Amino acid sequence: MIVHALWTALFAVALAVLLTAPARSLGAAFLCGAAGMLVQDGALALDVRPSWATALAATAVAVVATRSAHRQGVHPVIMVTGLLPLGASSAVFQALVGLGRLAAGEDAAADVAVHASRAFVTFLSVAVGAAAGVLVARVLVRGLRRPPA
Amino acid sequence: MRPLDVALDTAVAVLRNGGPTAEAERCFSKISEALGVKARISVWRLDCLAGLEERDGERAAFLRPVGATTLDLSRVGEIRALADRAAAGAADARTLEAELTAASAPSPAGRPLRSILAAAACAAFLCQVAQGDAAASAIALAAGALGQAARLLLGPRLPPLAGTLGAALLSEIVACVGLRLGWSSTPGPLLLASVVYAIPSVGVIQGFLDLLTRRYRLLGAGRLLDAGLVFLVLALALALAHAIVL
Repeated sequence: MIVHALWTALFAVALAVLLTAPARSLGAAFLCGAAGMLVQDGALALDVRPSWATALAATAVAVVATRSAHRQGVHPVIMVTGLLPLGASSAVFQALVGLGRLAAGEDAAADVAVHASRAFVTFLSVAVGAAAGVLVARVLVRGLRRPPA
Repeated sequence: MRPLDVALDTAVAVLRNGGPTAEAERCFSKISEALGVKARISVWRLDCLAGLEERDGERAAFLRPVGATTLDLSRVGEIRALADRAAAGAADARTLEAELTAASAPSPAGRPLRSILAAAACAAFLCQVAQGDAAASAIALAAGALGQAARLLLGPRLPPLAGTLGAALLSEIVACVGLRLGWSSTPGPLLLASVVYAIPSVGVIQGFLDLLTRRYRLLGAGRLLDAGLVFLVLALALALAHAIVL
């Protein structure tokens, strides 16, 4: 799980460079990538459903990204680099392979539909989880700023 | 330039650089407030923005084309910082206008080597994330680097989808040659990671985020349709490479 998270964190950093992210955001991208994959793998190990595990991981990424943005102002970049590794890459790929088989005249319509649906649900989980994470982070920031009564 | 134009240019600059729609609206609101503009964007689309401005007790409609979009998220960060400075009263209208003009200029081609190395690293690391073997990572590294180099070369000369098709075809051919020679036993991760630089995941995630807000749904649908077209091009590249090599 740790090694998987490390590869994901390195992928997030490389993606941040590819997306022309400023150098100061690379550390935050590393944290986002690692946090997202640790939460996703941890939730899956606890038998949480994959779509819920993805949503939880996206929430974790959004919280880390929004907290980093609060300090550094690089939120859009690091949020995206943290969320991409959670995406439905394998489902999208399998749907693409299915499309290739369809183009070659094979009967793969059902495969394409299943994988495309899985990709849709995963992308939706990422979006819902990220939106929830941004809300949670904002509530946390407001709570920290509020002076004691 | 009118204060409303400065505020609208801010929102357009965020969208043109591939930023989130909520970020574009936030920047528009901050600049509007700083410059004393009473306006609201009601229609968010990928090709234009429309809304109403209230001035001297009268309402006037406005429409602003967005133009071609690209992906430069560091510029989105700069525009966001600029809007924050305006909201804090640290930048006047003239400064905003000058900095926005610089931020709205087309992205320089600069640092192609960094872009190629980043694409290669992305491909190799994604291969490991997707449980590919070491040989698959090495092939993906070469395929990603060659594909991104072709993309940078073809980008200015061809329409965007044709450039993506050419680059993805080259990457998939490299990956399929590696598979045909029996160097890797994990075709799935290898074929996926080889074209990771072309996957429009930013557009997909932002499209879904837009779908969650009613006012942004048209724009979100536009982003998702654009991303869907790129996925179809990637599928075509994969099918062609498979037919040519394997």
